[in-house]
Amino acid sequence: MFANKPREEQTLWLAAALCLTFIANQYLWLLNFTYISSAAIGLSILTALFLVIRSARGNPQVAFVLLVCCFLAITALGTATTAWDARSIWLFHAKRIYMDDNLLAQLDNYAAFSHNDYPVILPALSATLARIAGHWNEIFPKAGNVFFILPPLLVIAVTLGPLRLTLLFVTGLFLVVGGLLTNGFMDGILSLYIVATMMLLSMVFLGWQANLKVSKSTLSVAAMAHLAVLTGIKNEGTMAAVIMLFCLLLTLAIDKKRIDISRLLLVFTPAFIMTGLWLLLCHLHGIGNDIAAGGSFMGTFTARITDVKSVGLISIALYYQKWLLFLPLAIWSIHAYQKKQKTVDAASFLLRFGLLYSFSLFLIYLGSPHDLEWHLATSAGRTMLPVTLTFMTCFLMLFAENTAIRTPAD
Amino acid sequence: MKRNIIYILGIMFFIFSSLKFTQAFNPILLMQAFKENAGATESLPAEVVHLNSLIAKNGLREFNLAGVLNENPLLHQRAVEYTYPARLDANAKNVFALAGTALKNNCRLINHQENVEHHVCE
Repeated sequence: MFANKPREEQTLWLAAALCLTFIANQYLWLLNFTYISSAAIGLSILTALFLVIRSARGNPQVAFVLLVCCFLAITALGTATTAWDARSIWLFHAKRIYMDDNLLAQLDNYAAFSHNDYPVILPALSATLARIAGHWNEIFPKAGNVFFILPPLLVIAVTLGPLRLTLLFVTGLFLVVGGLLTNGFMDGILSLYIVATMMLLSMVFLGWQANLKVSKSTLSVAAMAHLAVLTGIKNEGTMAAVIMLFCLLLTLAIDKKRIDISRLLLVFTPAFIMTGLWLLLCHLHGIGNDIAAGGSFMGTFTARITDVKSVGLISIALYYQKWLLFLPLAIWSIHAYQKKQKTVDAASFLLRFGLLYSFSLFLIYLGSPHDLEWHLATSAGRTMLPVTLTFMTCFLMLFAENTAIRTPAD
Repeated sequence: MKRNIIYILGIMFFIFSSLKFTQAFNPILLMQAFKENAGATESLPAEVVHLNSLIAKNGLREFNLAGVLNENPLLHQRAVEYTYPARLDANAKNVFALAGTALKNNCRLINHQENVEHHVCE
């Protein structure tokens, strides 16, 4: 039955299956059947990879994505793990899950510097890989992140269509995100999930790429799975999901389109339930977020919003970045090539998201309890990646239509 | 023709952007990628590697840090995460410090590895 489905549909099912495997993996750690669950997760990932490799025959985009992931995996396996957050947060959480045999090991709040409130979906997969290998080291656990890169890249490749657009996207991704994809940081992976999820939401709710041979139910399941992983990557994922929901409703309202509430609930509810569960667990263990802790957020916020120097510092750090060049390019493309309303709707959805997400970051930095210059210097470039990648994708969507590579009956 | 140019330009950009990833690449690490404890010397400050081998040699479950090892954020965080499951405990008797660190009078030197010293403080 699966083999009879169109190639695009098969690929999206496999991407969704991989996402659901990652989600299942973290919950299996809660059951303490770690050896059985590790074997099950390992086999599931291998099966999905085998099917992806099979579907790559005669499907150059998928073959290219597989090659890119192989390249990234080799790079990750051939580099030492030195990045600060990678060691102090993500791989330390993974090591704790592996050593303590407990998904919630970090909730004892040992080593508070490691941000114990951060979700554990990626560390849980690194811990599973260590379980499969039978030991821990300072190299291979971070390569587990490459598995997470595969599903959104498959979605993006299938959605963009021709190989040259996937090539352009991956080139842009390498230039904008670069080493953050493989050095154990989460920001590059978060950005990819944000972009893939928004493309899927645009297809489900805005009718973009209606010529793709994929049913709405497959698209909905893929969107649900990617959104659930997105909220499990790090706290910004939840913020992104909330902003996405808001921007989607806003876009539907502006375009006077009917809101399919049941589908909306199907796509968003699992992600919010998972986030809610994690926040509840953190709350029950007395673990708070460093930005929100101490009750000083509003005080700092009001002090900084009236301080020109602080506002200037944040503005420069967030908006004076070379890759934000994609924003004027995308806006120009919308005005220059308004051919298909559905593409413009999808592009507007992405633009609204990018702008609102960057404003949200602006507000967070205003209330940050940390030294502002230090906080901006160590994080602004990374936290803006979802925005930059969203604008780049928006430009590519419009560029694809402009070059008339597709011949849709939109 | 126009499409071919787009392809060639795309491939050139792709190769150029891929070069970013190869800067820190070490083929020796790739060969050892799945060996137990591989990559420690390449990933961590030497002091932390020495600290961990002293902790492992003595089978310690708790330890404390003093001086630069405790005050330098890089050394402190790397020590805490790399030595896990041994835990940093402010009340632990086994105290580690760099050579030359002034400790209380009730501490005696037990062992050392390079410039990292193991003291027991009663």
